[in-house]
Amino acid sequence: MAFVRFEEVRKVYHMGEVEIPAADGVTFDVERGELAVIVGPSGAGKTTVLNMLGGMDTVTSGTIRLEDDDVSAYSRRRLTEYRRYDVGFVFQFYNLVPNLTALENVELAAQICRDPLDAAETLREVGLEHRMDNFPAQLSGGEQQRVAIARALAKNPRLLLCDEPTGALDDATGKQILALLQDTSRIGGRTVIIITHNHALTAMADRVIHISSGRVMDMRVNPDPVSADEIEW
Amino acid sequence: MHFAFNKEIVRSITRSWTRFLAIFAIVALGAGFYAGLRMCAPDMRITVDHYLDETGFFDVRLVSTLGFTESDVAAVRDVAGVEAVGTEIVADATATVADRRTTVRVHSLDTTAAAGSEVTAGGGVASDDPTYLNRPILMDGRWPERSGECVIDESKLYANSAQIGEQVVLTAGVRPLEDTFGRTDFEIVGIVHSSYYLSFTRGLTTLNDGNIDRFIYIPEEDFAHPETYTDLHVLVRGVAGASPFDAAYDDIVDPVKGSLEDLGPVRAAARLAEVRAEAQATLDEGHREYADARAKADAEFAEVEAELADAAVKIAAAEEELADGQAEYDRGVRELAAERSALAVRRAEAQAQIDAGRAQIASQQAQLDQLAAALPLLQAQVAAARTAVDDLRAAYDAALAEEALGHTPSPSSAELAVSLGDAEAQLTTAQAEYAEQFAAYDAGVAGIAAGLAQLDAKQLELDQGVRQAELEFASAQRSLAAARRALADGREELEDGRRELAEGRATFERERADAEAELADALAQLDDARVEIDELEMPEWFVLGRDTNLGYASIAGDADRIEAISVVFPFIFFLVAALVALTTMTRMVEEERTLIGTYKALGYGKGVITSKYLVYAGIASVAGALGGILIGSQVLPKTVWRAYTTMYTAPPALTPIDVPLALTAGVASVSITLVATLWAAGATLRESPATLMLPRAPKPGKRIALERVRPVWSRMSFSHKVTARNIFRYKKRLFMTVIGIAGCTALLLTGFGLKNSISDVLAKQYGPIYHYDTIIGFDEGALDLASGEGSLELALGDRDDFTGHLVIHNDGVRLTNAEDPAPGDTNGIDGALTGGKNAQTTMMEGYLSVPRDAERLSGFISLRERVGGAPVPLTDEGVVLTEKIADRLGLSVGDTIRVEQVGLTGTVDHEETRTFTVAGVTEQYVSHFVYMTPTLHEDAYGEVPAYNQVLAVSGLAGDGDDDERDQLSQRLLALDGVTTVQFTDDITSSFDDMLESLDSVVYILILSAAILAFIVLYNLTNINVTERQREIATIKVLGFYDAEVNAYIYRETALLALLGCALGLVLGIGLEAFVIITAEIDVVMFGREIHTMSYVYSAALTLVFALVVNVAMVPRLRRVDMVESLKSVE
Ligand SMILES: Nc1ncnc2c1ncn2[C@@H]1O[C@H](COP(=O)(O)OP(=O)(O)OP(=O)(O)O)[C@@H](O)[C@H]1O
Ligand SMILES: [Mg+2]
Repeated sequence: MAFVRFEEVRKVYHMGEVEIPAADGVTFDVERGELAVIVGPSGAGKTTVLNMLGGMDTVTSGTIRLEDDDVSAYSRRRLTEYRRYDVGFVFQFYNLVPNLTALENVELAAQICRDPLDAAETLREVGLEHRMDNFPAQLSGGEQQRVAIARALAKNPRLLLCDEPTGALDDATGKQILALLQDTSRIGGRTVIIITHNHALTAMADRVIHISSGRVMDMRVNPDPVSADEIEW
Repeated sequence: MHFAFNKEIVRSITRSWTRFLAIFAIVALGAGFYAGLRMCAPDMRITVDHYLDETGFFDVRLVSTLGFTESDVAAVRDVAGVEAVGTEIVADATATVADRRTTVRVHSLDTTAAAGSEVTAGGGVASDDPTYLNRPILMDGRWPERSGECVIDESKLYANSAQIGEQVVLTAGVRPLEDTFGRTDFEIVGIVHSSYYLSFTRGLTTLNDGNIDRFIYIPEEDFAHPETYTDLHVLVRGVAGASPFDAAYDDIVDPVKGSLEDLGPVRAAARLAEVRAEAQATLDEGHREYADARAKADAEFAEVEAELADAAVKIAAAEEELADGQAEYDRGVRELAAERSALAVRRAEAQAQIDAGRAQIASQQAQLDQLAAALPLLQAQVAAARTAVDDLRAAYDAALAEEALGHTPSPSSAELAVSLGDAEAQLTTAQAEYAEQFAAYDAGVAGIAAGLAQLDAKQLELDQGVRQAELEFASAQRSLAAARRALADGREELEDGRRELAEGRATFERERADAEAELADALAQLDDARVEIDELEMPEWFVLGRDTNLGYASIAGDADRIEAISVVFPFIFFLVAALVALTTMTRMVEEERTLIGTYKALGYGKGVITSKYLVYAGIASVAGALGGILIGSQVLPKTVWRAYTTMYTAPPALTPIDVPLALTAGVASVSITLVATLWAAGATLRESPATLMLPRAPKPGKRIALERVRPVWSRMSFSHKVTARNIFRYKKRLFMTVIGIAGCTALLLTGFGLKNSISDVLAKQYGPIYHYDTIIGFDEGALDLASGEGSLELALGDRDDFTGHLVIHNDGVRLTNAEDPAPGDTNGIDGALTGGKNAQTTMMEGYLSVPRDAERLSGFISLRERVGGAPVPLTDEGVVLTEKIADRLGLSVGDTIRVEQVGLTGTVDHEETRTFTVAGVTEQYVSHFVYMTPTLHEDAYGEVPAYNQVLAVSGLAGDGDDDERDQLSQRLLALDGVTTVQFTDDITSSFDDMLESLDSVVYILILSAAILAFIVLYNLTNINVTERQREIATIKVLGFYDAEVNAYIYRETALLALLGCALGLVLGIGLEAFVIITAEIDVVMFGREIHTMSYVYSAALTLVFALVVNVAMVPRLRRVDMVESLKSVE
């Protein structure tokens, strides 16, 4: 049984009369501890898929399972709990709370969890022990994204979801972030799903899922993922 | 401008209508409040001005000490600038109106003009007669048509106390009623309002308690001197356009006043001459009349005197006659007596003779009897002799016999024969003697019988004569008795006549004395009249402006007060409006950052882009200003006017939109918004398109000062730290919210506090201060007059109706600070106590109050300090002032107050002016009093005051049993001297109406406060939610529950609300105090305390408003879509 399982998941947006199937029968699995990369062109439906998986959006039809749990059937309240306890989310634009320091941003997430990691420790792990008391505005994009990752990790989630985590970063910084995520999976043993439209990232993935026009075009397991540092953009 | 650009503006309005609405609403509130409140005073003035114009209210009123005649009227009419002159006779009187003793001011009514007048649509009265001024408005019934009819005011104080068909009877006047009035009884045929009496207080008088209760209009002909007017009312030409409250009005009226003042002395001299001539004529006539009366009286006296003399003569004659009669009678009596005595003498003589005869006979009889008595003796002698003879014979015979026998008897027979012879001789002698004696006896008997017969005849004769004489005497006696009776009658008659004469004389004397006294009186009066004429002073003309009319002046004062308030209030709204506009527009510009960048990149100029926001804010604020002004300018003046007019009889408010004020309000509020918009847009617009296109660097988080206070900060929970930082990060919002909420709370507190302060007026006055519940008024002196048994005092003391009573003197006085110059008295007429324009010195109307028993005062009125409640003793050392007097006149303990007695028509009697040391200041809310002890009064005025009231505790107050009180009232009024009975409950209930009308003001304040709170909080929350959508979405993604998300946002709102609320309570205290002190009317002092519950209500309501907004915003928070919000950087 796969850790994450999408079965014929459909998400249809209604724009007046027009129906936009952002996800049009998506089916894929991700195994526990894997670092999966979902790749596809812009507008393919990647974000839609990740949002549904992250409990931020509901499916139109189909099922999403996390281990034995049917996430797609959750109530609003249960979804909140799911996000609270099971999922860590890293956004393309970091979405740190601007009025909180790096540490506080991590604490913000950690304080509501059942079994959080130590916030300061987590920040140290992402290499920000010296910037803990800085506000987001005082941090570079990469640093902010690392805070965001720390925030996601500190929750000690079952699943780490990242939507274009490097989208707003330069290559070098992007690589650092990817390395961090890879470590989270490799060393931390956490299941990580990264979304990107950058095919270069597929090289570092344990599993690569190709999505286009709301459908999974291809899903394969990378038998030999390279280290993030070695990716060529 | 470009079509697409315009379309974009329209779309930005429709897309963000809450933002639009926030600006619209706050501007509407600000502009509406400003315009509405600022227009209150002008609208009051306009309403009054219109009402006055429509009722022909005077511009100048003339009062003269000697009155006016037609020639005065003509002279006034000729003064340049005078449009029309109205005439009126006004006099004060005590009257019985529907069984209630009432002090009335009686006005003359031109019945023809009144009948021809018509009520206009605007609530005024139109008349074709240009001289018909101060036109009363007929509310009910009809105008008087004939003598003996009147119309009366509608009195809110004496509601339902006079109805059409009831009587008004004048009972006493300032001068004898017949000098002033042609008649004294009037039937009420109509009820009127009058612009001349705008306020419920009708003015002052010298009668009774010094206050006029009501006014009536009677036909002019019902005055005793309809040809002499007491008042002239002048309309000035060309004032129609000018508001009497403006300087322009004064500019027109003042010259006319000047001319009239100049005319005064001229006319006064003429009038004096006229009055003097008139009086002289009257005096001469009086003298003539006196002479006539004198002559007539003298003639009458002479006549009566003659008559009396005549009667006296007659009586003298009768007396003489009576004396003659008496003499005759006396003579008769004497004669009769003489005759009687003569008869008696004669009779006595005769009787004596008879008696002598009888005596003789008796002696004869005695002799005879002796004879008779001797006869038996003789007989016995005879018998003895016979016996002796016989014996001797026998003895002789025996002796013879014996002798014969021989015996020699001794005595022998011889011897015996001798003896017999002797004896026989003796017998013969005895027999002879006897016979002789017997014959003599017989002869004596016969003689006696004859004598007796003779005597009896004589006796008979005598008796008959006497009887005859007796008969004669009796008849004489009878005639004498008759004569005596006649005499007695005559005497009685004479007495009667004499008495009659005496009576007649006495009557005559009395009558003559009376007549003489009358004549002397008449003469004295004539002399007085002469003195009066000699003393006639140059009459003085008082030229009075409108500001001397009590109602007008107090409305003018109220308008000024409202104006003062209206300057402060809108400030809050404008400030909040600016802050709302600033925060809202800042947010909008920030939201559209990228768009601005795009426009800029597309080549739009800064001005054009700015114009979008200006247009946006402009439309919102102009629409808001329009709406606000339209609503505010109607609602606020009407509400305020309604609240004030509980004390006035005036038409509904006219609320034309005052264009300059509306423009000010509009321009101010719109420009505030636009400036805020420019400020908000400025910073962003200065940035280059490139930076604008980039997501804006989030506003850097900052450490706040609080963080440096480690002990506090480290103890704060994590989310509280976030809140604290957020609050201090957005200072504009902080200010907007705190000030807005503070404004809201302050307004609420002001509203509730206002209600407290005003309801406290009675609650405190009739709670802890006044303990009596009944005021009994009586005629001055009634108490003294009726001293002794059955006196008013005893009557009250004996009653079970009261648990206690206190005799007190109350009299209206004018009060000033003794350090200020004494106020003049020309401005004293009616308007004296309103502090009209001319007043240099602050004056107050009050009462001089002297409890007869100062020690017992505390049982009826507590004198105490308002703060702390320490009792204020009333001693002979000085007076105790009620608080507002002290406040207004700037007096404190140890200072000196001037007390002036108000005289005729409000002028001051300077003889009676005294100054007193202030010994204490006592809490008081209704009316103003100067309390002093009788001793102090006596020291100052040289006499104890004339007590005129009794304060009593009946215990009937508050239980609302009208029947019981009516009965008590009836019982009291039945007592001699009692004129009025008033229960404090009645006062209380009439005041309740006023309080109720104030509710509308409170509601408006609550509503405004609510709107303010809603706008501010909604705006704040709205901005917070939209601006922090990402943050909210983020924490949602992090798994915050709904409640946690709400708390995350609302903790801030709540904290700001609490902060604002606390600030608002502080501000509110000041605002309330300002409003209360500014709005306070002269006659009362409003409470100075805001009740604890009002703080609670204000704070609670504010928090409820905050809660409502938050609850309303909950769905919006729920709707924040994680997916959408996080999709990209805006
Ligand atoms: N809320 C929405 N309403 C309507 N259509 C939407 C909505 N969200 C996404 N779509 C549409 O669904 C499709 C998939 O969008 P999605 O954001 O998942 O694409 P993506 O693969 O993440 O693209 P990108 O790489 O550009 O982020 C797109 O065609 C988009 O237009
Ligand atoms: Mg995407």
